[in-house]
Amino acid sequence: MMAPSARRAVLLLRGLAGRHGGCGAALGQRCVSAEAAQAPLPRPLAPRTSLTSPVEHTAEQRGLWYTLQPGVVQRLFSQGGVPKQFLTQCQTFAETCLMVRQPSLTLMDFIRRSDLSLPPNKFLLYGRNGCGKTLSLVHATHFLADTDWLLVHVPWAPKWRRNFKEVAPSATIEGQYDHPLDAVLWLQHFKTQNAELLKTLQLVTQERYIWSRREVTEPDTPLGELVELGIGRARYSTDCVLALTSELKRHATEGRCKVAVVVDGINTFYSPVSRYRCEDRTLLDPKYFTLFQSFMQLFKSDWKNGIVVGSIDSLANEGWRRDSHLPRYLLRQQGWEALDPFIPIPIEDYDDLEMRSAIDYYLDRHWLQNPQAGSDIGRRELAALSAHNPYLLMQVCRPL
Amino acid sequence: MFLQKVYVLDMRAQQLLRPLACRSLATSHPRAEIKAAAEEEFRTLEIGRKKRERFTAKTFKPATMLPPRYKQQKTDQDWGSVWPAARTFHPATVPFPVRQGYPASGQPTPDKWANAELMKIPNFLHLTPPVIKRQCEALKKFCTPWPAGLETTAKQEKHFPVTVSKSSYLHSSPTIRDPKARIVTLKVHLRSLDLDYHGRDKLLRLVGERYDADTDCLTLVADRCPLSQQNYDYCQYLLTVLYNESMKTEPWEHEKELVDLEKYVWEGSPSQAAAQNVVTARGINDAEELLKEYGQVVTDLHNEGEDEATVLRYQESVMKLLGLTDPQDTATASEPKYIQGEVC
Repeated sequence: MMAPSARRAVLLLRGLAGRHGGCGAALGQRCVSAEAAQAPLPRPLAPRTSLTSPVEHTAEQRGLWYTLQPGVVQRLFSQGGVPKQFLTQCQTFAETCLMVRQPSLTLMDFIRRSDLSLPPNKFLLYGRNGCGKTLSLVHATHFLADTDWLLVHVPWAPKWRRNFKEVAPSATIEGQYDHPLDAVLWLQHFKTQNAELLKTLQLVTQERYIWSRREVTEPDTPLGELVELGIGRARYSTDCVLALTSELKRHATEGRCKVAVVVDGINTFYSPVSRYRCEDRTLLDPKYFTLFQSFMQLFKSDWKNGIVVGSIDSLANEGWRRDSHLPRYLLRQQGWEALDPFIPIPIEDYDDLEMRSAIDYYLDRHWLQNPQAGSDIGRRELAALSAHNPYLLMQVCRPL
Repeated sequence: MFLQKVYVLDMRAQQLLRPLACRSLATSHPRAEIKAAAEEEFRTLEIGRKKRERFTAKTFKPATMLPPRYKQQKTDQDWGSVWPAARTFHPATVPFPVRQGYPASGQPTPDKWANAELMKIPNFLHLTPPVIKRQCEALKKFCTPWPAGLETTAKQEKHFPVTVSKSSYLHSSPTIRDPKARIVTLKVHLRSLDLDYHGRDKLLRLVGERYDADTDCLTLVADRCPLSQQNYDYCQYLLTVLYNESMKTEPWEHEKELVDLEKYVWEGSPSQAAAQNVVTARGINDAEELLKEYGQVVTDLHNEGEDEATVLRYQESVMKLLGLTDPQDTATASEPKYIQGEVC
């Protein structure tokens, strides 16, 4: 449990405690201003919660920081999913902590209440840059992993459209293109994330896959072996991914497992341009990427026992299509028609409670060295400089 | 004895006595030489430019100026007589202080005295309200009464929907003409034209930028002919043609496709099919209301433009469609944002 002083600060802000009920914030102001003149401020403890699994998180934990075990981070996010700058910060702090925020709680609540016998529900997070879409997805992914969902996780989809390692024309499907190395990496990621579940569920292939004259995958082969084949043979890795996703879709429809598709930057699937130049010097439309098609088949409503969680990010689009952060604009007509109806969940900037919690956390981690950082004036200044935006707050606090 | 004689001699005579070479080198100023002879034995040799005396320019004091005119003006004077016509700004005649211009560093804004900025710009000091009233009164005898039955703007628009405007120019130069006098502008409100839905849509596509949606006004500007009469006839012709063509439906208009539609139509769209699938999968029997509401929300999202409010309505509608509404869980719908200005 968190320290009494920190808990009281959080409750005061919520107006649930305090001598006069509602004016908790005013009370806090009076207390601080009296002390500020006399002595350096006592360092507040970060408002933490000891519940390490998102399964137990409720509205009570809103604004509190929960710690992700190193094993969890290693298992779930070894190939991405957590923003790099945040990861560096976590290495500095020697712990990976995430704030519990309302959008994640709402999302987890929706996931719990989804009827899995119906076509998959789609929940897409949207918001301005730096508000916390990716970290909310991290929270949701952790929740899904802890509730025995099979994860089909795309850490950052635009990487396959813009910064792919290699794209080659497909040998098996005419007119389409492969990502040999990227598919291998993704299969490794899938294996790391779902190692336990694959062992327990013991899913097997239901079709025969002929890779070459000598390499054939018979039906009733464990999916783990299919994954290993894809990792070993880069030439067939993209087709392996396609096979894997199709198999998972079929298994989910037949009720043997529940599959959660988590994609960061889902709007990139409906972008008309990629960085790969065809032989006739035109830029390729990403709809011809087999890798994209493998996941886009999971966005359809023709399977069950599934869920689609994604984030609509303006940075996932091309530079000239980033004017608005709203879903219809970023998804374009094609994306809208593919994903509709979905529940858009807005991610906002920090409110007062979250701002206080964030600054307390930085103070607790000794990140803010300025003695005035924890004071009333200091907090107000930080809020003004960062405009209550989480990413900007991180940037502003860096040199302090 | 000889020295005493030297003292007595005149300066000029002394100069003559000195040998020629010395004369040129030594100072020629008589006073300096007297001083030197009086105080020191040796003359001082000045090397370098002599300090010139600074000549101060002769200051011409102006003749005593009269006080500015406005000091003698009464506060209830007839301003129309003081400033009867358009005139360059004159600071002494204008009775109030006015400042104009970009101030120099550390200085206040330049005042009205010798202010070129104020003099360059046109002023309307000749058109104060009392003067305008007086001029209107003077013009009244040339006016006819306002036609009865045209009191309000609505009535004027009903009887005279079309407004034609042109400007005439008169130059006082070798040519009195101006080529801009041929421009004729025709304005009409689309609500005055008797158009159906298809006619209105076709007309808007034909005129393009000439229609202003905020004022519902179509503006046709003609300047292609040399005479304004010809341009006026052309405007009339243009309006006639536009109206008649909009009322017609050509055979090729039936080839209109989804991408050509001027607004989003939910019926028959993939969105409707998807919503129908959801409803069928959930097994809801009478989902007419639900689908209708959902269709309305999606149509609004597309036609009214996407903003936070329409997206929020869409979210609520989809939650209802998918059966995920919970009376207690209204946190997403009415999530209070941070209150600006409060201490965090």
